[in-house]
Amino acid sequence: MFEPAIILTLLIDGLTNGAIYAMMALGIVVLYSVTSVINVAQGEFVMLSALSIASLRAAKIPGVLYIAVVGLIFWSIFNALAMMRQGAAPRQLKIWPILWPLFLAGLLISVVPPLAKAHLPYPLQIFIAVVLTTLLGPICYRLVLEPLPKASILVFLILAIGLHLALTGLGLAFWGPQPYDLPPFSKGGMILGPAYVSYQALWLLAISALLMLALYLFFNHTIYGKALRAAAVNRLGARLMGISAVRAGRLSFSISVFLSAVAGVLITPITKMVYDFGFLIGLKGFVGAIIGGLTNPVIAALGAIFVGVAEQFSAFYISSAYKDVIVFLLIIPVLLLRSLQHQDFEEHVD
Amino acid sequence: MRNYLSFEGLSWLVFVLFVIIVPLFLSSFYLRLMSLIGLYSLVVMGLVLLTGYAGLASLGQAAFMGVGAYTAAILSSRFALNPWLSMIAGILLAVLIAWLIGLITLRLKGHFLALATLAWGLVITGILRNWISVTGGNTGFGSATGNRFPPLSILGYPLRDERLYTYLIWFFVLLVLFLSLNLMRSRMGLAIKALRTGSIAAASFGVNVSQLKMLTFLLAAAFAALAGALFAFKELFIDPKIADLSTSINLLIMAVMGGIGSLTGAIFGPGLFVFLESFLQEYLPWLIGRSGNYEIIAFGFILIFILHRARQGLLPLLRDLLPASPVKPINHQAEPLPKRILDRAEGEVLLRVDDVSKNFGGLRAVDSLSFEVKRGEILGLIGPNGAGKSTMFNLITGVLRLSEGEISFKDSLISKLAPHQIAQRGIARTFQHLNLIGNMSLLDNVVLGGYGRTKANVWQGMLGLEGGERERARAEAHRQLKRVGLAEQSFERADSLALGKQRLVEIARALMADPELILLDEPAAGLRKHEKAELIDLIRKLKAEGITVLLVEHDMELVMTLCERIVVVNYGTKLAEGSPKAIKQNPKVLEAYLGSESASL
Amino acid sequence: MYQKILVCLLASLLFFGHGQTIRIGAVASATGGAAALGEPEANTFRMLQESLNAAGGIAGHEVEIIFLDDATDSAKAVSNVSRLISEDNVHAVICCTITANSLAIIDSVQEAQVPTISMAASASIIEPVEERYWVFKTPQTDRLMIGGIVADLQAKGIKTLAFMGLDDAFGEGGLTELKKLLDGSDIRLVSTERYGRNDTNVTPQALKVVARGADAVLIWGVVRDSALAAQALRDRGYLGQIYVSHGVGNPSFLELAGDAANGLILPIGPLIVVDELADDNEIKAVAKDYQAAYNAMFGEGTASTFGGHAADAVTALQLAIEKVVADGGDLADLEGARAAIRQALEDMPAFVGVGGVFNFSDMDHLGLDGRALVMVEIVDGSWTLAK
Repeated sequence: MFEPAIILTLLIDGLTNGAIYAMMALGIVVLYSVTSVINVAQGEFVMLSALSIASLRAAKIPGVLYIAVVGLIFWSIFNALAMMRQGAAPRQLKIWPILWPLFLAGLLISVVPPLAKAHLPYPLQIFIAVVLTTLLGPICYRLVLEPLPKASILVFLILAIGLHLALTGLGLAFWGPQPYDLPPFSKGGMILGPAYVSYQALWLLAISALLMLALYLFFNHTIYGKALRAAAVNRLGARLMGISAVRAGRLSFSISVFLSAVAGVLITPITKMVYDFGFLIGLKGFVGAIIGGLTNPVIAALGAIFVGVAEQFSAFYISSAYKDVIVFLLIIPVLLLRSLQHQDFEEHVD
Repeated sequence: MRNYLSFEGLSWLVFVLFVIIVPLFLSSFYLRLMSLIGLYSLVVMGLVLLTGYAGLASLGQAAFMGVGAYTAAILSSRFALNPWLSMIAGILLAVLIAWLIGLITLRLKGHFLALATLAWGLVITGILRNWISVTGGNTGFGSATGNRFPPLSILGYPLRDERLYTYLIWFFVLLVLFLSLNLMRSRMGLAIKALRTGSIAAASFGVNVSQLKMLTFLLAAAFAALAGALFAFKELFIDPKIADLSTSINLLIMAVMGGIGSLTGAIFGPGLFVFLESFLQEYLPWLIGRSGNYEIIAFGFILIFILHRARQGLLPLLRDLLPASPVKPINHQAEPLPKRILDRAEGEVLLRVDDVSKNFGGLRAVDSLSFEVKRGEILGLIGPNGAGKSTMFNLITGVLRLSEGEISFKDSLISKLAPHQIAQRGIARTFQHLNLIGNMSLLDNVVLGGYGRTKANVWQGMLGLEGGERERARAEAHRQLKRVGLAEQSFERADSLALGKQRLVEIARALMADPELILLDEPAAGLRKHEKAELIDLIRKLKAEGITVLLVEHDMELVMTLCERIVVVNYGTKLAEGSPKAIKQNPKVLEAYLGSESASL
Repeated sequence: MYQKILVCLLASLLFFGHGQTIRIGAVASATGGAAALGEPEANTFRMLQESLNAAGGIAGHEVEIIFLDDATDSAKAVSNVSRLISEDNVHAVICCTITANSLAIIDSVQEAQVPTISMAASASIIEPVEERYWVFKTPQTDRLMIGGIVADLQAKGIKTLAFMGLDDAFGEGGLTELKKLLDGSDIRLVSTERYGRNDTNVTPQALKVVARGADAVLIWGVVRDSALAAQALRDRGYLGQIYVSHGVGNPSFLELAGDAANGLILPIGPLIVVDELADDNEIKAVAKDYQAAYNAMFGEGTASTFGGHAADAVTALQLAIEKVVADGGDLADLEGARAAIRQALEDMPAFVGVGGVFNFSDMDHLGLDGRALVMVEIVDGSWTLAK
């Protein structure tokens, strides 16, 4: 039961899952720090990007395109309404904020379908799907969260639940309940010491590690990254760094959606993908994020990797039936610890 | 008085008659829908108390339903326990679990409860699904799987008839609605409402905030478990889906639809949800061309839309069309509330701040600060922005825990006490950022301030048995409003007042606690000239009545006029202390002020 | 051809003019956990409503199949059935895809006295018959399916078996029957592993099975998870015999599992290998017709045995109603018609369905025999009749 082969295999698979959960956790932490939105819809974007590639491979138009186009049309309408609410008469409306989303929508609808039919090489299909999915980030932020700039964390949480429901349902409407598969980046695998590793798992680990590194560099060495970090501390600080709260929100939502979209590409060749598969992945990322107190990206990522590994080991050594129970129980000691550390009287109004 | 009763009585009568008559005309399908609406309403009422009033959210209410349902079913089948007793056991178990969850999360920020309950819901579903020997697993628990359990019965008559059972469920709905409405009008209920606006404020008039949050969470869990048990005895077959996260999310949607802050909306929301669901189920597949539960798309968008455009839910939109219910008049003859006995020894040290420091991470916001407040004086605490004045207030009132030093009040140490305990000792405060409950009347806002002087507990509140205490509190609140000159506007909504008046309401609320020391945090901010003059008069009057005042204020003219002594702080340390005259000429003070902000000193 | 259609149209006009519409209420899990099973059922109802009416309805009456999705939620299934019975006044009910839901609705349909046909596996749905007077079912029971596997194990002389199953009602039903059937045999169950429908991998379970050294593994799940489990076992170098459930009987399984699918054996209804059936097999023609019609409507290679269960349920009702009408029953008298349909289901002669030969009786509300089961082996990425 304790042979190195078993332990190594469990560890590798745990790290593979953990890397995906870590990308979820990082997305959650980045978004929460900047906007105090707890995005329970994080996992839905995993599903959307993966299923979009499946559509492209079948030379079909991915449903994400329609979501993006309709979203952009609403973006234009929202902009017009916002200007009217500020008291602009219909003639005084600035035309650009109304037109550019429509232009972009038109561009997408004319460019993507021919590309979809063109049987492009796999990497290009991945690229298109990831770009389209990431585009949903600012769209969702504009349409769902931005209209309530001063809402409480709880209201944001409920909005995110609404987003989760809508996206899951749209996933079902576009792709149906059946599972889809994507080809691995390279077929087969290798023997690593006593254990077998598939090449896809290695790809996954490498790319997710690179992404996390890139994220680290972005936040520490670029103007935008520093501005976002300032935004996480307070809104005024962000404005001093030259980024408005709205910009910071859209940017951070895009980053977190991008992480999910890439995660979808990486994980689907290993796990296959179904319309309601993203939610649970997102939730496990949450456990990691909570371990990091929702604000510390490094601890959150490590926590998420720990979740992935703990899941594998508890399924093997404790009980496969109760492994999810064990994973979600992990947050109890974390919360208990935080609660005990907590000295000051809590103010929960934001 | 009579008018008031008859209006409310009439609404109840109409509602009860509706519940009695409607089932007589329903087919079994609609009876089922009505039962489900009733069951959901029970849970949603708990959610409204929790989310709408106390400002906490739970994503695990369905899991409490699951605990109620499974405990009731298992006890009454495996252990042949009386169904009613099994039901009570189910509720108690749910309450116990809620208590444990509350214990570890209620001290943290509000959304941690949501996340913890979400995880707890997944845990309980996992257990229900996999502990097959006890719960029957996914296949379900009931006679069809060899776990027969008896229906509820009254006087030996089993309640199997669908119509009768609908009545039973709605009896509980009416009962819980009655109790909850009573509760929300009571002393405890007002305090629960205050939690959402700000728990610091609530604590400042003596509310034990964590206890009250816990109480609300336990009530919500109990309502959910009651609904779960009723569901189990209705279907006589249950499966783990009842505890599922999707059920919890549906319950949240219902609460939002009905208006998250409205108990009557807690019945309207589930009704709307159930009908909308069956409507969408019928027409959406036709629209999409394939069958499936596409209604979740609609519910997702509805949820977002309501939060954007109708945060109060859909019911209040209707309610605005109805005439407002008349207000219960104040009984000025009511016996006054008990008053603190002031053992007056003018000049004795009332509050002693001794070498106090507070660190925030690496930042030392307050650095070895010491000063004293003597009984009967008006002491000013001034300093540039960020000097640590507000932090000092928060340290005195227990909102922040000090890193070093001691604070004592009337010669006893208070720096280890919780905020509500400090308030109970006789320290009241107002807030720099106003902390009134906007949609409540001035009177009710001020009544809240008397929380520590009244005693009615949650049971008395629920049953409407607060006796004369409430009348006495209202009369007292009216007197306090008169004291600050706002008696005329007692029944207006707090958010309809100008900023300056709202500050006066805060003072009235602080006075309502019958304090010995009152901490005023920038009371003159945003006041016009004549309002400032009134404020000065008011504070002098308070001093004359024996109340000690500690004042943080930026308006130097007001500080110099009012205060007998002034403490100046900068960067968390004491810069100077003395009479207004001495302070004005102190070069260090001048430098600090001219250096940081060009205030007119 | 055109003449035929014209005749049908004319006939239908004639009959529908004064006819009583026959209403069949159907509930399946088109979405949620059991969507893989429920969706083909839902599609089948849609298809049959069209084709039955195009062929002149049942006994000359127009047929309306009112379909509702229960999203794999038992409370919703009960609500749907209650609505079908009391609002839509259906003559008969076909419900549900999964065992838990089928069990949950039994009280309602027994009380309302409506003939009901379930599409779920467990024998407990129709047994004991006295308590399931109104309930029938069309799919092979888990017992029949797993019986086939146990027989195969015994024939191959395999002594140790590991079980990997979904942690839902489907996996649970399989495990329960397996334990019953192994009881008293000389085959030992050495490991029992469960996994979730949305798990990212089943490596620990596979490792454990390999570590326990079982000679054979039974994976009791549906499409995606069984593919993952088979791949995980093969990746860990497992060389023993792998059995899977009939739940994978969907072309997309072959695609998802890839090479790992080869050598897998499963018990399933005959539809999936219909071309290999002997020509004198009475099921062949019926199954082929269904397969052709379904594929024509929903795409090549999409027909599955689950849709077949729905088709058989409709056929059973069709034959029963035809018998009721032939015996002079009045379909407008709802209560009488419901009772008569139930009686006719028991009394009518055996009929050939997609899934087997059904002979309902007052002792047996399933009435399938061994002909309903074939053992299929996946060879070179396609289903073949196991030797």
